[in-house]
Amino acid sequence: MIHFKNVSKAYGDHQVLKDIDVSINKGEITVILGPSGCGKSTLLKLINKTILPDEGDIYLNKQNIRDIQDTTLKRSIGYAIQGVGLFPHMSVKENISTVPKLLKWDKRTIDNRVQALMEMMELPETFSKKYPIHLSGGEAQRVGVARALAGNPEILLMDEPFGALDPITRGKLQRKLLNIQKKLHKTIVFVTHDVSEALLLADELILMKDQSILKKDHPYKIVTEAKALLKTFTGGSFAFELLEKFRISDIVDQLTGLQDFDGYCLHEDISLKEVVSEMILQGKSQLTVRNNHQYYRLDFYSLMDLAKRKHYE
Amino acid sequence: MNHGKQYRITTGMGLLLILCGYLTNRFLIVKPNRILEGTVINMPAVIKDKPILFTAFFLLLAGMIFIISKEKIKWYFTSAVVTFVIILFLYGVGLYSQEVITDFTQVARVSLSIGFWFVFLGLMIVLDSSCHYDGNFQVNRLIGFLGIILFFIFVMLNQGYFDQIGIIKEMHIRNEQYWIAVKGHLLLSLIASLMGLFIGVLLSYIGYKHKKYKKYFILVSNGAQVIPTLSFLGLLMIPLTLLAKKYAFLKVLGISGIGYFPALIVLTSYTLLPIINQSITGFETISRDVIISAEAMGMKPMEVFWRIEFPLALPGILSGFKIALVQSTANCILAGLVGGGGLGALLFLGLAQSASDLVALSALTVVMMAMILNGILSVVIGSMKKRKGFI
Amino acid sequence: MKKILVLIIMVALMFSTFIACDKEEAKGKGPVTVATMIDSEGAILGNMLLTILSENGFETVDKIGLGTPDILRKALETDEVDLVIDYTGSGQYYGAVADAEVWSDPALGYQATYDFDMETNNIIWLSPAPANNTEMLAVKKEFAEANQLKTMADFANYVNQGGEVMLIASSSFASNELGLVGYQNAYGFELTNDQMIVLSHGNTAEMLKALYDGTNGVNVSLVYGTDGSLKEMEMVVLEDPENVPPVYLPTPVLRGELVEQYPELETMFKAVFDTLTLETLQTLNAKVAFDGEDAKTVADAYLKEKGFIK
Repeated sequence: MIHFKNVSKAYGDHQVLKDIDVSINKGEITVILGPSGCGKSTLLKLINKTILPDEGDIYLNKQNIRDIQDTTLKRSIGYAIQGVGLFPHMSVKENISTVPKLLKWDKRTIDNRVQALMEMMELPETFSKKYPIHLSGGEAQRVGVARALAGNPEILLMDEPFGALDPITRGKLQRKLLNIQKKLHKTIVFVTHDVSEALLLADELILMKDQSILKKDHPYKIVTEAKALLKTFTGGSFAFELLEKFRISDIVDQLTGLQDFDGYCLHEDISLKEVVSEMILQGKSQLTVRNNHQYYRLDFYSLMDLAKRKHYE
Repeated sequence: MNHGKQYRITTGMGLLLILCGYLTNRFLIVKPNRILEGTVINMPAVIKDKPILFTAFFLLLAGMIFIISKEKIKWYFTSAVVTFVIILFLYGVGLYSQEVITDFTQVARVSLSIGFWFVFLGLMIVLDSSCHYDGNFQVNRLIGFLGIILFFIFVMLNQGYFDQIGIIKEMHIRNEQYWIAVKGHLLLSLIASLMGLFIGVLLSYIGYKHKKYKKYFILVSNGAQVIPTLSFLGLLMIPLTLLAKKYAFLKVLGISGIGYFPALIVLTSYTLLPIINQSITGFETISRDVIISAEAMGMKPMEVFWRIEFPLALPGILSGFKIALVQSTANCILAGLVGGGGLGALLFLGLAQSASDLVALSALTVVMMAMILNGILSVVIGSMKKRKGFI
Repeated sequence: MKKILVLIIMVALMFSTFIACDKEEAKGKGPVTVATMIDSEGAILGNMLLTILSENGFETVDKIGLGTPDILRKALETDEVDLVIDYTGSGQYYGAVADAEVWSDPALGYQATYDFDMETNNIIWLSPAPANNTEMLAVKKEFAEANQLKTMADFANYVNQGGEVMLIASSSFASNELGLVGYQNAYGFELTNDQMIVLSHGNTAEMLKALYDGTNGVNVSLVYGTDGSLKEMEMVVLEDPENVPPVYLPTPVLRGELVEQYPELETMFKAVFDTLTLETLQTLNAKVAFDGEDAKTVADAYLKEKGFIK
């Protein structure tokens, strides 16, 4: 859906992007992973014309974005940044309504849209009159995402949006994003330098380093086939991030239930990563879990397989 | 509690000032005519003559001493008491002046001397202190009580209680002239400030968007500030006169080397510094992320300015405007020397005639105007900040 | 935020219509702009002119108390204003050249100024008032009695015999050939710098107050012939038989074009100014400066009393 063709960008002497050629699929979360200064944010900013390329072209649905008017383009693409950038002099409701107002929607439609988005982002109704100064980091970013989605854009660009949040809030928001994507199927381009986040969120993963793209593939493929490369980006415990994507309830349909069971079992619907954690704590390679009044046995060695199969469904 | 203590101290200072006013010889001066000195009256003499004042002051002293010594006190009650005392004080002075002037030729008058001002100022300080309960400035309460005082002053003025007070007499004698001067003064200051606002915000925005120009604008506005007013007016006279001679249509607009126009230019130039300084700060304190989001949403540069940058910088801009307005009101006095009218002309007339009451009238009017404008704008800026959820 | 902007614009528009409304309604003849210096005599005479013009169907613009004497003169020269009150002796400062004797004579001085201004600037000096508002020295009555001072010659004696002197005067008077310097030459005395307090302006009201209060030891002051407060303040003017300083007669001064356009102005103003003797002006000035009455009220009362207006 979004195609980069021979794109280069430099600031003075400093080359930021060298001859980039890449495509981004529609309806998926594409994560661009790379260390600071590799050019990933620049790549993102080229999509909504915040920055213009020195050489090359960028196509959106086969149309060269050079031929699309700036404001039209920007109003059809959502943008969420780390600092959120909520307008301090506007309430939460007014902030979210910004793009719909620019698109001149009528009042009723806008009000309904705001309400729907706030529900989706789990923001209580009392928040609508609150001002950004009264919001916590997590709450602010939720509003930011709602605001970015308000105009119902096809594309959502996110530049390290959860980077400034504490780990728990970050986790919640990451899961929230995955959740809403299940319903919305937007084309999301997500930039981060955090490998765990990348592996958790990505349907397609792009590795960037030194102003160029090193690899683009499904995260599972990269983990299994390009381990060495991935290791240069991170410590190496990335298997856990993949396991975090799924919960017990996601994989039970691949398992056979036990007739009956007596004894210790896990009955919360935790992620597979937490299952491994339990196994380590208990010193067992097999655990019994309960889901929907059925018992199942989980085996340590088959967990990754189950996750992979679920992913490729 | 720290704040509470601080304001007990200021209350004490106010009371001290009242005491000074009481002790000094020069409380009121009964003048047989405008220029000659006349008889000096001290406060105790006035009090003896007017038992009303006496009771009021007793009330005040007792009340204030009681207040300072107590921890928990109803500050609201204090404000009310002080207001009552102030009104009674003014009433008493007015009444006394009525009785002490026995000639009906309207020439003799009672001048307010330093003792009176000490007492009055002291009372005002006590009133202001009483509205700072525990460090929380109760603006509304102060405004409310000041309003009550002003109302009573207005009523007493109308009823003629202050007619023998020198300042009021000067005002009554040249009533029409006075109000024309006030109008003109206000107008000139306001227009100069508004022009400065327009030019200043424009330049500030350009300096904020293009950093390289910023230092030039600041340099220019600083430079304008440094030129002494009268020299500035003098410098402008020659080129403006030449211009007016060359282009006749300018004369119709009133543009020439003398009159309101050179004063307008000088006043506007002086407003540039505070407005540009505060406006640039106002713009620069806007978080970069806010601008990035706004632009990424597809707002055109003009939309970013009107919807985001201007409203966010507005408290800063208005602070600059407030300073400019107060400054202009004061500087406008000099406009009177070059034919710009306003209260300056009255002030200098008073100086020329050696009539201290006329000088006091003009000066006090300017001060009051400046204070009122300052007050109004402070309230507007404060409520703006609170409402819009900034710090 | 837009609302505040709209409010500001509305307020600004309101005020600009305010200014526009201040213009007087068109009446007929004129408009004639009358301006004077910032002092009581100017205010009285200026208001007389305004009232006379008004009564005779002229549209007027009131610029009484315009500014300093320099500003006033400049305004007249640049056609900013049409009619001012000025003094015949000032001609010497504007460029009229003549000997000292000319300036000491009322008629000759007037003529010199008149000729100069008409030729050079097309400014016409109309008929002056017969009141010599010139610079003299005054002392307190008791001081005069104590030291037997009646004339300038007496004063010269007093100074030469080492009497204590503190004179307060304007700088222009103190350095003037026809002012203090002239007095010193004519009567044979000299004052040192420590015997003088020199002010940058010529407001005699302030000087007389200093003399009255004895501030800084002042015991003799510059005074103008028509100053009103002398009797009430119990002061005497030292007689000057030599007529040292130039003669200053208050005169309506009009731009040439207006004289051509409305020749009747000359006779109208002459009728009034002919009645303004030294004593009359002293009385009128006293009412304004001393009693604190409004100049316009005093001017109109006088015109009514003399039957110039109804």
